[in-house]
Amino acid sequence: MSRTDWEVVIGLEVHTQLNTQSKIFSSASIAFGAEPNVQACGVDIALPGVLPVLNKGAVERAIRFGLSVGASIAPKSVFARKNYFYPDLPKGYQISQFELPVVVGGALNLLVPDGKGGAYEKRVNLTRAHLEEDAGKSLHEDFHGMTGIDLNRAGTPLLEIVSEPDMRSSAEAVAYAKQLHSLVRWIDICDGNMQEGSFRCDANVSVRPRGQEQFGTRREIKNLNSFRFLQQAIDYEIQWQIDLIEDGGKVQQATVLFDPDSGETRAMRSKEDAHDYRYFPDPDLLPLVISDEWVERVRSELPELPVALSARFQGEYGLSAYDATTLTASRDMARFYLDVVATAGTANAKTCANWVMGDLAGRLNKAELDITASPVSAVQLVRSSWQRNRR
Amino acid sequence: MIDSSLKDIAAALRAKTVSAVELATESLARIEAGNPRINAFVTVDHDGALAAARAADASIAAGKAGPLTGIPLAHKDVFCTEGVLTTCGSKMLANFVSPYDAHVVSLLKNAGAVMVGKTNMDEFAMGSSNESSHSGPTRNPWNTAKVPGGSSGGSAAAVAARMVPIATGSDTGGSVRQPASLCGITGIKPTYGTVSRFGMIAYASSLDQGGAFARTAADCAQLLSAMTGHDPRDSTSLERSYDHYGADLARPLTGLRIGLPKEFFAEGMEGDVRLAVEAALAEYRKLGATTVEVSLPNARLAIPAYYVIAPAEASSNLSRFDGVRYGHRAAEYTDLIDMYCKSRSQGFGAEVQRRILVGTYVLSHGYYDAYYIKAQKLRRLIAQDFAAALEQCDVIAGPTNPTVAYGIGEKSSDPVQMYLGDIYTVAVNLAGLPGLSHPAGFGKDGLPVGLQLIGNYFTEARLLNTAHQFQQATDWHSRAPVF
Repeated sequence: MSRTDWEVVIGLEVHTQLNTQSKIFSSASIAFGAEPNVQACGVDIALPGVLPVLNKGAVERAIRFGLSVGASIAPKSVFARKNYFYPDLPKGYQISQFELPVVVGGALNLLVPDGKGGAYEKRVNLTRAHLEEDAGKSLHEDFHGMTGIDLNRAGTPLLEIVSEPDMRSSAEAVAYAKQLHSLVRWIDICDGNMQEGSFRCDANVSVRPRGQEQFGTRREIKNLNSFRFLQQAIDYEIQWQIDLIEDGGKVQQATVLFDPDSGETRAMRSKEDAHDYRYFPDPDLLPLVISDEWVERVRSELPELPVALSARFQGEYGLSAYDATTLTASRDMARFYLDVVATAGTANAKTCANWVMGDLAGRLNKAELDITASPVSAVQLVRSSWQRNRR
Repeated sequence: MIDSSLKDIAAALRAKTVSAVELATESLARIEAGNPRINAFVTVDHDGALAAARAADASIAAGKAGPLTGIPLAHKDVFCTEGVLTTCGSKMLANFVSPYDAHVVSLLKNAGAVMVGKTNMDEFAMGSSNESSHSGPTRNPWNTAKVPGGSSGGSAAAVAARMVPIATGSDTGGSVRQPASLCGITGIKPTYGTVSRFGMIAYASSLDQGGAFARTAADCAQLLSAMTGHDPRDSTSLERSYDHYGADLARPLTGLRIGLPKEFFAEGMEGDVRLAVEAALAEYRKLGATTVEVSLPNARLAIPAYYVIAPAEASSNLSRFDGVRYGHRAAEYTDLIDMYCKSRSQGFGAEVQRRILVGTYVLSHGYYDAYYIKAQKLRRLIAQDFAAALEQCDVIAGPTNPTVAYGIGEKSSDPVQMYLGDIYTVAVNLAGLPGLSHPAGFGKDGLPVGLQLIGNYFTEARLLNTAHQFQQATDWHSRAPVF
């Protein structure tokens, strides 16, 4: 029997927690780490009679995101109720956007490491991004057969960013997630703190014989909160699906969880016990209308985006695509590099790139320090590099 | 004194011929005497009322009295009141004390009105007879074997029985106008979005609207003016200027064009109701108004559209009552699902469960388009009908209810029969228009008949002016029941 050449198809849904002061439909704070249930007001705990009021800051961040990926901003979008019962969902429904999301389309252009020291370009299209509220947390440990409920997170604003199934390997999925992660911090809509759950990925994974047009049946891996887990989970899932099919089995649509300890994915629920969420437009909220003026004001306040900056580094400073991408991986990195160039002079921009990416990046990596925590300032880096060269 | 008009009571308070404490005491005594027979109140806040009355007397003494300062008032139990039970007519909330005041409640508190208690209602405002209340049925003061209407039946009965001069209500499909009609008083539901829904426990969010009860249109105008205004906590609350609804009361009706929808006069209306309504219309013509026939061709679809949209929204709105955080929780259960099922089965009565089931069904996958979307389309058609009719007239008039008050228990086994009683009122909510019911005479067994006036958006002042002029020429509104 000849081995089939399998093609992997991956789409990602990323929940980014928006860095507003208060919740998406109430004035309670969203700061992380407070005592349980102290940051839940009457609206968040769904007292009888309370009503949601939309936080404009969350909408503004959604617009900022849409513009930075070249998407269209819906002039009118609608909040809908997703109905299901769970103790950490106080209203018995989650307010989300269903048929009419606020951001439609857009794309990210990636450089994906090819595993041989190089990289290739890849474009991943976005389906949509929509605003929604987070649920609270159910805490099953420490309560001796009972469940603790913490509603501090209930009502936290999320932007769910949905990609097209455009990725063909875990490496592409990770490159996409990393670039998205960098972008949301770059445009300052999300703190990107993955340990605290500010940036969580769900991966839809399927396989098909190369050349087949129709997608295979997908399984969705939920709640991956590190790039390493994203890679491990997808790789395990791909192999699991291929093994299953090659053994004569059929993939059933399912939601699965990744267990980092065992490195395996396991089914949480199958399609048969999927909920009927009974979506309908939330009558407590008017349609979200976004004027052209609002969009243009947000556009005018956007920082120079990594893609544009990278192009400038290549065009004006003569950097390679790889170097330009690396130096625009985060806004802090780009800022540091620009400071170095400002000190050493534009004529030395290429040398500056080597200083930043060479010695400094290596040492920071070893010390597990972020560029913002660098013990060496831009000026010090220039001075010491010059001194060393003179010697 | 509490049988006088608000204007006279306010003047007496200012002249110090009566005190707010005396008024509250009078109201509380009437409640104590009459409530065992009427069951209009589920909670009487004796101490709170006297404390508020003393505060009102203090502000009168300080010369800071407004038109409602010191006036006794009752709130429908759908409005959350801080520190006072808010049951919404349900076992589910039989023990619920709200930590906050509804917007309407705080507005009236700030206006100096004295809340004497919370009034009985159909459970979660679902019903037209007040029979579905967990606290037992309210009885009609005109005949205690009859229903007072619903769902704001407790407020209507309390005003009709002269226990309080004014009361609040909520109207989702007729719940202010219909009990006002059956109890022989005046009730108004304003344009959707003018009274904040914040703190008013939701039944069907896109239809729910707070409203006012009084014996007269003039007093309704006074109360409603204090209830309306923009509230940033309710996203459907309208940002506009709110005039005093009593500003236009004295305007003569000469030249007023009253539209009579032929569909409302075709069939379904009982003979006694028809006689009273025709006589009232004759009175309007005497006052200088003209009548013109108009048509609301889709009005007959209002009941089916309403009984899809309202239960759909209710099924979702009532999901928060799950026994987890407050309200009723079953004493024994085996797991989470069992706790939900038992708590909700025990906490909700039959009518509420029926509407949750209907609403869940019409929102379900595969039925949503056939029911919910279709009903929303009907809703638009109904609103367009009203818009066309209101181009030919200034106000629309007709019966509020097809019959006078029926017997307690008479229709409770046949929900569809009861739903049909809302035939003239639900279309108004679907369109979001203001509607008013005023006493128009008496029908069978000496029971009151109401006339409904419907106006264009934001024409509450015109509706109240129309009813007020009628009440200047008639005395139906001043007849009092003996119970």
